Amino acid sequence: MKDVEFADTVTTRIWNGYIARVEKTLRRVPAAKREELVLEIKSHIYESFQNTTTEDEPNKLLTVLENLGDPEEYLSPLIAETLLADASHRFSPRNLLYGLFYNLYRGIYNGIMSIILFIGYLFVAAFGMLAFLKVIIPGKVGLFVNNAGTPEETSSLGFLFAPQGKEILGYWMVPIMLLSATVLFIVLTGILRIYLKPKKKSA
Amino acid sequence: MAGKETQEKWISQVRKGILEFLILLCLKKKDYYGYELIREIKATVQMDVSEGTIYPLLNRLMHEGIVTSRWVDMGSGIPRKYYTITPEGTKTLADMKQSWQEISMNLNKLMET
Repeated sequence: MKDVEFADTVTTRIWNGYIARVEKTLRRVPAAKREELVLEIKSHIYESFQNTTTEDEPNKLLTVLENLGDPEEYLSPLIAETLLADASHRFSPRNLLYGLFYNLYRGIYNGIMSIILFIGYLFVAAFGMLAFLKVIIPGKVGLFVNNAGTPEETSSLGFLFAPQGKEILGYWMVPIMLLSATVLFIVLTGILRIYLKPKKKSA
Repeated sequence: MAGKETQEKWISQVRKGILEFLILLCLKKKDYYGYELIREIKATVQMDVSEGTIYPLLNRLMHEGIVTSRWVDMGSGIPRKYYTITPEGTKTLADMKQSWQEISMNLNKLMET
C-alpha cells in the first residue's frame, strides 16, 4: 500500500508522527489486525483531507487530525476488546493479562484516587477534632515526644489514654492543628477539582 | 451555571449512548466507509466526539457479526473500507428500534403529566 504523498515536508512530518502514534498505540494488537486498522485510519485521514478545502497543507492536515482525535484516547476501548478476544481465542496469557490490565487501568486509577482523597479528608477531620479536644482535655491531647528514644516508644500525635513522654506543643496545638486542617483541605480540594475536570473530547 | 453543566453532560451521554443505534440506522440505508459514516452521524445529531470514536464501535459490531466489511480500491489514493449490515444486524436493529420506541413512548407519557 502506498502512503499519501504531500508536497510539503512539514505536512509529511505531521503525517508520519501521527501514524507512528497510531502504530505505537496498537503495538500489542496482532499484526494482521493492526495493519488493517492503520490502513483504515490512513484512509480516514486521506478522505477527510480531500474534503477539507480551506487552509494550506500543514494546517489542513492538523484540522483533519484534530477532528479524528488522539489515537491513545479513541483506540483504547478497541485495544482491550481485541486483546481479550484474541487471548481467549489463542489462549495467550500475555495478551489476556494485558487486555485485563487495560480494562482495569481506569477502574484502579479511580479507586486509588478515591482512597487517597478519603484518607486525606479523614485527616482533615482528625486535625480539627484534635484542636477541639486540646481545649477540653489538654492533658491527654498533644504531641508527645519520648525521652528514651527507643523504637518501641516513638513520638505520637493525638489523643492518648495513657500519654507517655513529654508533650511539647502545649496550646500551640490548637492553631497548628487548625492550620494543618485548612491547608490539607485546600490541597485535597484542589486535587479533587483537577481530578473531576472532564477530559476534552474523550470518548 | 450548574444546571447548564448538568444538561450538557446529560445530552453528551445520550448522544454517545445511541452511537451504535445511529451506525446501524445509517447502514440500513446504504453501505458506508468510516469517514463518511461518522460525518453523516455528526450531521444528524450534533455530536462532539472525536471521529476516531467510531472505529472501536465498528470493530466490535464486526466481531459480533452485526456488520461485515470489505476493502474497495479507489484507483488513486488509499482504498476505502465499506461496512454492510448483516441479516443478524438487521434483527438487532429491529430490537433496538422497538426498545427505543418503548422508551420514548413512556417518556412522552411522563412528560405530559
